[in-house]
Amino acid sequence: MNLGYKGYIAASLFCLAVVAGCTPAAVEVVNVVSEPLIKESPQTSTALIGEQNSPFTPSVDQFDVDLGRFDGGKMWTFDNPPVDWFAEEYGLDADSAWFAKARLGALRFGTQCSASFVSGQGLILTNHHCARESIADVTLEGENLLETGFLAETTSDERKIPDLYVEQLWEITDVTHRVHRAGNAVRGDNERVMVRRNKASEIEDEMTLAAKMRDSTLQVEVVELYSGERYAAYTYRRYEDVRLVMAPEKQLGYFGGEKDNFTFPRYTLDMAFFRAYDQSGNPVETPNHYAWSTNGAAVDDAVFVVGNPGSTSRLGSVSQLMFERDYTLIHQVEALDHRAELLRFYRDMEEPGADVVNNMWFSVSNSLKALEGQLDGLRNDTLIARRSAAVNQIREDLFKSDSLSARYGTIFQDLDELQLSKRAEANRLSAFTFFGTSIGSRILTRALYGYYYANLQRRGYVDQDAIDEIREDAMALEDFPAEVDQILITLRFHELQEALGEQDPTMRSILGGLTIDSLAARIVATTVLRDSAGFATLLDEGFLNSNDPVVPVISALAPLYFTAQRQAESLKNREDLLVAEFASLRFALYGTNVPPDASFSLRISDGRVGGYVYNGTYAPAFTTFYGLYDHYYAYRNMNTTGTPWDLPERWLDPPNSLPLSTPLNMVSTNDITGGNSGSPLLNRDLEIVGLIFDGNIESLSNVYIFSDQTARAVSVDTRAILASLQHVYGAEYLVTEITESAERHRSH
Amino acid sequence: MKNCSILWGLIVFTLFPSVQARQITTAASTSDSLLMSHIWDFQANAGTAEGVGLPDTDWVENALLGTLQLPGCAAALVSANGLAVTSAACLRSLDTWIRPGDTLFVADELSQEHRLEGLKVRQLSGIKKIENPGDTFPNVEPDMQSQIHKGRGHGSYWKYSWRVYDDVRLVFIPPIELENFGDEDSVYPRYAMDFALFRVYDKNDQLLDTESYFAWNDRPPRYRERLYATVFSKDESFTRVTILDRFDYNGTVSPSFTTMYGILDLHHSHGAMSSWALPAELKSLIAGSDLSTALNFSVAGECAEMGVAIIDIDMEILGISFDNAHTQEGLRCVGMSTAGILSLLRSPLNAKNIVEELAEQSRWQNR
Repeated sequence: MNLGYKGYIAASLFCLAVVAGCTPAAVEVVNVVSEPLIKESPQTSTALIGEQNSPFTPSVDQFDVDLGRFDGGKMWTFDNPPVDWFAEEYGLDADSAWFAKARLGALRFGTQCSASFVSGQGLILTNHHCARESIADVTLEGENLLETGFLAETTSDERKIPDLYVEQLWEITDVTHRVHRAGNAVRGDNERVMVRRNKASEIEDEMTLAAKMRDSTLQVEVVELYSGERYAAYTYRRYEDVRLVMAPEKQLGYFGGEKDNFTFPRYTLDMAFFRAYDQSGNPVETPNHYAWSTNGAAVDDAVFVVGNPGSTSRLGSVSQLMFERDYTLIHQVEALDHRAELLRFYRDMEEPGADVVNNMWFSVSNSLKALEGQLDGLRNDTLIARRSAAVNQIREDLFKSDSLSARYGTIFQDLDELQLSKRAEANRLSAFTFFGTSIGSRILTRALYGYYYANLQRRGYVDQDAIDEIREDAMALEDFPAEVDQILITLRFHELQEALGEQDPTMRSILGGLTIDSLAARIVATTVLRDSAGFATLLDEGFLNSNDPVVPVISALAPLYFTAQRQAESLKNREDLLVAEFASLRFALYGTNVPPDASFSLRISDGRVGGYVYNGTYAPAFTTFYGLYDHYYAYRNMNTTGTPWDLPERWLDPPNSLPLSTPLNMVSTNDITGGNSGSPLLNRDLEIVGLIFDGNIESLSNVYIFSDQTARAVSVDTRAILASLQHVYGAEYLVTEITESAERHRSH
Repeated sequence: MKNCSILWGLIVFTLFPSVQARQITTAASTSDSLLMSHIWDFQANAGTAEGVGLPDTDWVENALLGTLQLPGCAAALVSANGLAVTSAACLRSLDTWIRPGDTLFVADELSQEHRLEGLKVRQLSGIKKIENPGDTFPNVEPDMQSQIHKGRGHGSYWKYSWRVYDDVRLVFIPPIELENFGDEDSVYPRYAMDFALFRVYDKNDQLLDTESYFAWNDRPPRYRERLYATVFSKDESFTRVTILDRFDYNGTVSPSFTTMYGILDLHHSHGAMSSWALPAELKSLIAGSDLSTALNFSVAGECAEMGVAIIDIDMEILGISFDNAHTQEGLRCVGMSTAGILSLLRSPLNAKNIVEELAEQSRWQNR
């Protein structure tokens, strides 16, 4: 079953991936935090500095709360399509054939993105930021495809990407009953969560086996919906031979860089083309592709996003949101802020190793921007009040039914009380925010791996594969300059001291009479964990028996960390069950009228093209190539060594045939989040008019409550894609392939 | 800022009737304390001459003498022949503004210039340190005025003498669609051509002959460049030191300046029914200019007045103030760049004489 983008990545880390939004950040943030130490991964969320009193019940009546019909969002599943709503709002007669066509053109791209088929010969469109790793993977010696871009002259020049696959959603089967029945057979919160997960994965295996008998390209994944109130088996057709066809230069694909992430107006050609091949090495025939709209969309047009949003938290209680606001987010922001500042300081010194630090800084500041946006959203009283009004409505509806009251009557109080337990633990857990992830000190993270690895071996843990995997993960960490490790260790010790108190026995044992600064300096000066090679040697020779100065530190710290982690996990399991109860109540009252929270599985979201009020003026629905040049020239003087708005040579003097008034990026009110990157934006005829690549800064709080007042999905206009292929990149055969598909579509 | 208040202008003109006309401007008489009294760092309202890089007293005096006052606004002299630049809104908001209305006006020949009836401007003619701020001075010449200014934070008082001119002729004003592009107010990034050129004539119908003016420079302001603007306020005058920097906005950072490309971007983005829509002839006017030219920019801190020259350390004018924008960091002064002005005058309008007059004065051009 799918907990996240990568197998068992713990929920806490998955949250962070979500945090990244749907944007270029998604890729980077996942990279940053996708290196959990071990299965018992850290509960990153709970950090606390200074107890804060926040009443669980805000005074709703002071706001003019308009309980929105779509506060729960518009990420509709394909097994419960909003047929009536589409008819009511768009006059659209969307029958099952329409939804099937919408579903089959869409793809899940790798483990983090979405994509779509855009021709009958397996041509795939996704974002440049989703393709970065693939581009790097097929770059040959002497090439720099990220910088120069890539265009296969003919299909035979298309380059196969190792390990990349795309998945098409073939069918959906409800398996709720089977999972629940297994879960109901056991007592205890943790046990029940475990049993459900195991059952889901058992069903997954069993169904995959059966499906493969029919067709070896099929693969089944059990998706948890409504916090476990529903389980659905999604059967995917997987295409495992995917080749790079075309990618623009990174300067176009990532125009505006990290700075412009979550920004609109925007001027980014965030696109890349791939092609799926069958097992005999021929381009797959894809009759279920989207035709290309050459006319594009206009303001107020109905548009639909079909893609795989990663995660949202829209269906919980008010007390949960407040905990998120007052503890989790604040302390994540604080932890990232400190790290961003330290990393920037080092980066600016332009010392050796600044590249690694710079990448890390980009990722950290990107996550920071996203988390701050969410925090801002939660600090907006109207948002909390709206959620509160929604919960009150549920309460009211609940008490109209005696049987429901009897079953769910205590759920609100239970959730509130659980938040109090979380608060009680929050202080200690805060010391470990982002501990054991790749944004921390390399030395400490390696030490934690080393500690875990040694203990598994000592305890005679038998799964050699798992042990090897841990070792592999540990070895994959890039080295940091010693100075950076030192400042990160110092920061972590300060955070520990603040959370645990100076007199805490673990803290005293760690410091061993030294000051934080001198301990950190000593560790960095003498440890062999500064680089992977030294670490590997130590792993073989026996990490815990070595004289490395970091051994006593991690030996004191790790038990505390693992205990904290187990407590966090236990609270999390309890919360998951309560939330599932709550979801079950909602479901009993409203059914599928409210779509489930995002689950990195296929959804369709409706909206309209339209600008919005911003920055004291109005953001247009579209931008143009003129704006690309405005930005290039406007930012050019800021930095002699280049800016994120620089253009590559061939764009500096574009051919006259490229109309600069061509719409480049556009915004619409569709409900999207991280994972939607690369999703097609379709018109009512299911022609592709845009390529989703980001959400604006106003959309960040949509993770908690959906609003389309100023929140917008940002896409690349397909007219810009076609114009640049044709006039700038000279990709004639692609243009022909795309437009012929479109013509055939229209003639039908 | 569309509603340039004309209030204080009137107050100055009425509360300080002309009293005296002795020319007393010398470096010796003004002394270093004039320099000190003029420094106003945008950050701290404080600083030292060295700290903020004001060169010397002569520099300050020149900046004062090159600055004209008109009701509610300032303007900057940009040629030895009385040509001055200000914000277009400063002229259009005048009670006496009738012609040429909202349309484009270009007078590339002196004979085409259009007299702005009822408009009076004044230029500083002298500064003198005085001991007693209560002193009054006899009125000597009818076209002279004087006013007591407080020194900034030094308890000193200065008597400013002004010469008033009432023959002011319009040389250039853009069409209102470009001046108010997008009907945006208090916004940056911005894409407005909010400037106008006029010429001051003396009482003998001759072009104002002045040694004090700002040399024209049509380079874009540089990122992190220190810039200066000299302002006459109600009872004081000061030179503000500011910086061309960027600020956090909308999840990204602002550009240090915008370009003419942006006008066409917004025109096409917003569409034909919007406030950014340009009639065909104006669209081609813009399209005919060098689109990469700097248009608007913003500097740290609020601008005290519109039409104020924004100058570099060499006292070359790089732009004029025309609005304050609301930003996350509070108000920031928005300027129209000289580069943008020239790009419009040059290729699409081909206003040869005006361009030549500006270019002749440009030390930068002659280098």
